[in-house]
Amino acid sequence: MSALFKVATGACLGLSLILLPVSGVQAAPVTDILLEANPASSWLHANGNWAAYRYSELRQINPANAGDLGAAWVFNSGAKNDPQMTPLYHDGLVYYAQDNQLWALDGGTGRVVWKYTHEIPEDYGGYNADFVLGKHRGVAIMGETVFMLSTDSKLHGVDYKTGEQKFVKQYLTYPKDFEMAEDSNGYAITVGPLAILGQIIVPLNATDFGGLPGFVDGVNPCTGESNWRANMIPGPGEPGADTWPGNSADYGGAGPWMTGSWDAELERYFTGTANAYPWNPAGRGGGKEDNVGAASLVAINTSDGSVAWRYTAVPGDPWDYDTQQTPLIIDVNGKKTIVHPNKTGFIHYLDIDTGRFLRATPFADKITWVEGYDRNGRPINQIALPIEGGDQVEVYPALFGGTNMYPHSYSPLTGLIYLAAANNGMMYGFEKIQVISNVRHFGATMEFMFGYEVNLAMDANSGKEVWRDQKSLPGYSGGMFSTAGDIVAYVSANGDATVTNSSTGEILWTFNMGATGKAGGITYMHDGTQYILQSAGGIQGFGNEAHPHSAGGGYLIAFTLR
Amino acid sequence: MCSRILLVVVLLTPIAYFTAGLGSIEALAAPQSSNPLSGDESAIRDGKSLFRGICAVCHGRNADGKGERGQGSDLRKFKRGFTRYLEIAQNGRDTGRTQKMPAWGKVLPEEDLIKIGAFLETLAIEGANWVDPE
Ligand code: HEC
Repeated sequence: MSALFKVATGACLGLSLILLPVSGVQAAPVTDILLEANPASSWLHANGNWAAYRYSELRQINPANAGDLGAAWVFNSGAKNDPQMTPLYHDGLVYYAQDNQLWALDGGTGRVVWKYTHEIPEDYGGYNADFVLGKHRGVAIMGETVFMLSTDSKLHGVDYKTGEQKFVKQYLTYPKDFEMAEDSNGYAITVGPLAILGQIIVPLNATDFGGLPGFVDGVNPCTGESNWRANMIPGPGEPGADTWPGNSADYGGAGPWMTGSWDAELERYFTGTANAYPWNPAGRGGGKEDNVGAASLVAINTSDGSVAWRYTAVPGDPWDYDTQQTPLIIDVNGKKTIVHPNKTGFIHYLDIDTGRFLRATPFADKITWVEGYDRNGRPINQIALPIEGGDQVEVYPALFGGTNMYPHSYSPLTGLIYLAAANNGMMYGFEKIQVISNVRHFGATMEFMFGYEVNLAMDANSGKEVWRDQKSLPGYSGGMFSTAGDIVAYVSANGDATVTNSSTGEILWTFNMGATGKAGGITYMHDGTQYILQSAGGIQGFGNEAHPHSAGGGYLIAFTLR
Repeated sequence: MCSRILLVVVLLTPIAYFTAGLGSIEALAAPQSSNPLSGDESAIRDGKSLFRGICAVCHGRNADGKGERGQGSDLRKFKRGFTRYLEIAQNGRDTGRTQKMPAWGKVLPEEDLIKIGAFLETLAIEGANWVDPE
């Protein structure tokens, strides 16, 4: 089927079905072969490759010389909201999105080559949709087109060399300012699209802006037209549909708000989904119904959008435990497996064909919400839920999770998973769910006990910790990438960019970027030089003000060996 | 100048000392207010539920500014007086950042906002003021 999509779209992408000669100098459209490869000179998917490893084949920078890294250039996006964007690099240009703008930067100097700007409509709004306005976690590239999702639920196809608009396609309604709209529910997009063979994957999320249900679309790269739409919450007749009482599924959330992974052999897209909505489960079974599809992993056949399986990691999710984190596709003990570190504090292992639960190994230092998982993948002895309007209960991890939106990496070289983890708890209670402009509010309150940031290396086979870089203060690492040169790189809430030996955890180099790091970095080869790109800027998060540097800023910093 | 001196006098009325004399620390912390529902127990109860259900996400459950959506002000220190409170709650406020204070005037009845004000007063800490300037 995807071959069909390819034939239909090949011409518009500037691709012939015959392989193009690849040379370093001439313009080089992004072919299927390039999309399939691990990052080397280029970095073509926010998650590095389809299996989501954020692992590059480059070795110029390695433990012997990483201490000689220095800043080569800085780009200021003037960010108004948290920069969470993992850039791409291809054929001389770095692609970077922030605040509904897309830049192409010269990979060697950081100077702007072109800029594409999208104006958000004036009636965009709603009581907390500004929280995500202008956040981007990635863009996609295929053929001669770069694809950006804007906050107002639109996909923009932009020429990769000129920045000229090719198409704009809106999928669903966006959240409206409640002064102007009777109904302020809508989809606000922060996630990046993913280029697979012949299609662009477009995840659509509305979870915490009123809870409209989440979808994944497979779209035509030439026009943005949807080929199919997959629902995260099971539709009528699908297994699990009956776990949503009344009309609760209509506002049940479960949006996929991070880019998932794709298996070319199975032609299957794997994504985690957001929490069940509202946070207070009173209207969706009070925590006693599973609410399948929310806080879940969903496998979608990309030939037709049918859902192959769903696994619910947090049945009836009462804790705002999104499991939207990117699933990794790893050979575990010789068998291709879905490996999924998430907010619960556990790494979940699932059979890739059936979604059958294999095991869940803890990585968070303190987990109190359950004792573990049984053989069927169900939580054991979940603590009692708070009573609406009553006292709060203590829960670890806090709702920002053992790990959250700061991306992880897997290195085939070391067999280790690198996790941006944090150890926080919360006092958590339920309140009456208020409804304003038809938007259901959270119905929950929380106070946080801030713990420490910890950057973990976990053995993918055993699930055991191999090394850690534990910070004294709260935060998350901005996210990981690793390389065949045996390094892993990340940024921290304290403003450090760090490179460690990926096998041993020895810290090889740190650089004070002067602002909190919140995005995953990349590495690429430009004119024979390996670059590392890291991002600095954003609020420290969730009312935590532990770090003395000020909030805000939006810098992309390139590092090379001196 | 004159009105500021007057304000100090108002805040130090014997009522505060009197209630403190009854051994209630909370009563000492509760400032005088221009809110017509100030001290009304049922209004405070409603206001608490409304605040926690609507405002806490940005301002924090205890109004300390530490909400999950971050960047709301610490309302325990609100010092502009009741009338200004109502204006800000109804009309919102631009912050220059992406995240603004929404305007609730068209979607929440004035009475609800007054009740929320009555609840917020009970959380007041040093520096807070709910009395309208003369
Ligand atoms: C979407 C987040 C958000 C929500 C929800 C929210 N606020 Fe705000 N509020 C803000 C922000 C941001 C500010 C401004 C902070 C600044 O000026 O730096 C603010 C400021 C205020 C101020 C002015 C504080 C001062 O010291 O001048 C008041 C009063 C206020 N909010 C009341 C409320 C009430 C009452 C509610 C619930 C009905 C509410 N807010 C809900 C974000 C929010």
